[in-house]
Amino acid sequence: MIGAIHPAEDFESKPYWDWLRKEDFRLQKCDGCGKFRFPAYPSCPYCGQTGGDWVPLSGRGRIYSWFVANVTPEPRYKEDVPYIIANIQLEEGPRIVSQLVGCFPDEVKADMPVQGKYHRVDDTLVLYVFSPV
Amino acid sequence: MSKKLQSPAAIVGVGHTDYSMNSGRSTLTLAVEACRAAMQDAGLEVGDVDGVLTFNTSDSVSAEAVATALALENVNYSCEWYAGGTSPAALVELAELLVNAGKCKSVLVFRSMNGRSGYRLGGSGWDNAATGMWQYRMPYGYLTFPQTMAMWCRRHMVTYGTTSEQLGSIAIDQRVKALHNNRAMKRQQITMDEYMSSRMICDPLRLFDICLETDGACALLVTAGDRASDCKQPPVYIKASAWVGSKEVGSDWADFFLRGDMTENFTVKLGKELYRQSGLDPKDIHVAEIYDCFTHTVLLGLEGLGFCKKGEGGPFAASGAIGMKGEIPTNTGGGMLSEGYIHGMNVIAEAVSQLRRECGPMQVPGAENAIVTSGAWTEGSGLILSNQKGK
Repeated sequence: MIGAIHPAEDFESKPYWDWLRKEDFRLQKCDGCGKFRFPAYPSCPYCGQTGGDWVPLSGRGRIYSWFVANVTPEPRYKEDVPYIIANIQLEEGPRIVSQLVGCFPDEVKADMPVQGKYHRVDDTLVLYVFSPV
Repeated sequence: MSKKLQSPAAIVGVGHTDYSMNSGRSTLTLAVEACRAAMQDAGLEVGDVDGVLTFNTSDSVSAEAVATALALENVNYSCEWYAGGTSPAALVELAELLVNAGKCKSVLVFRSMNGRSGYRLGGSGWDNAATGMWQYRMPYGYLTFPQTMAMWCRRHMVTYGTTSEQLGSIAIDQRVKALHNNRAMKRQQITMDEYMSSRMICDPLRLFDICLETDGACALLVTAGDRASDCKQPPVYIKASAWVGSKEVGSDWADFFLRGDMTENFTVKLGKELYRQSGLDPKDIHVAEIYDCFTHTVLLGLEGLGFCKKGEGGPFAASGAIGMKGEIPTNTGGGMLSEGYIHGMNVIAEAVSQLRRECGPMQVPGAENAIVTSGAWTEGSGLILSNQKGK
């Protein structure tokens, strides 16, 4: 089941998961070069500047690439196969990976527009999944 | 550095255990077996070897334990890296630097693993903890390395029209080469129909696109150029060696979030550096041993190393260009898709065998220069090896 494995939150990532628990999709935005970044880093991987506020994003993006998990070595995800994992180019710049829901494997196309939405797994975890627009 | 020396450092010994699905012995015992075989191959004694290097994914034995078990008389350098398939050529490079700097006389480089019966990458035997960069993918069910390559492969298919049949041609060709390799775990030939109907694991990748989980160990022995000619075997000189990364390389194996273009890997940069160091270019290379954790990695390597144009790896492979009679015979022992997955160490060993011209029916006639890669994605390492001392 999606979310069966919980993230091991750490110093850098905790704000990301904290915001998602509030159903607010945010990433760090560099004060220097203005670029969003994913995943969480203490400094900007593009220009090196330390810090950066957590800023909301639109959740709009396009499919850069994807695969279908036809089998899984993890028993807790067996009931979900086949499921689609996508690499999504977000409108604001960064890429993210997530599960693509609400569509069949043979319907996925490169550059297809998608929209993120919250998926509450339990009290401790909210994921951000994507569906075709 | 090596180019300024009178004679470049050389690989003078190769050792393998048998490759199997269940070795029935420890990674320490396997490592000692492979290292002893490499020393015997070279004709070097315990007093001649004073460095031991290895890498692991918390699934193997330390370099110190192997040095102890081999009863090495003097250890001047030992280390084990926590790393994956990017390491084998990089460790040979480190061995080269150590012998050229006079820090060590001869250095063993090994990889030992029970990759099928023990710790299976992405399977049982590891704890599936969603730490580090894994935390951003595992909750969604994005769990394994084949899945990671499937993501890269799909974008190549979308961008260049690469097909499953083209990937299949790589799997089929390497199986032909494994036929005469007594170490190869899989020698049963496969047809395109069998490839196409093999189990889909993570569409677009099928079972036959994925290397073999393997128990075994492989060791190489590197020594300084002036000592190499005294060894039992003809020396295989290290003409060029490099590790390459890139800006925004990510945090660990699981992190390609910052990677803009998934249609090319580290081999683009690697090839440029190896050709610069050696003064050679792709047409001077007679054999390619490309790290083949997956068929698609071979395709990316053929493009990145300049054997064909970017985007044309699929048609190039399917044309027969990588076969024994093709433009660039590639993965001549069957590779990790057919021989076994010793995490890339056996990929280098095959290049050495070719340059010693001991490959029987799968020998590339007159082979003088071989290129080798280690790694699949954003970073990795590689070598140009030669049986010719000068240019």
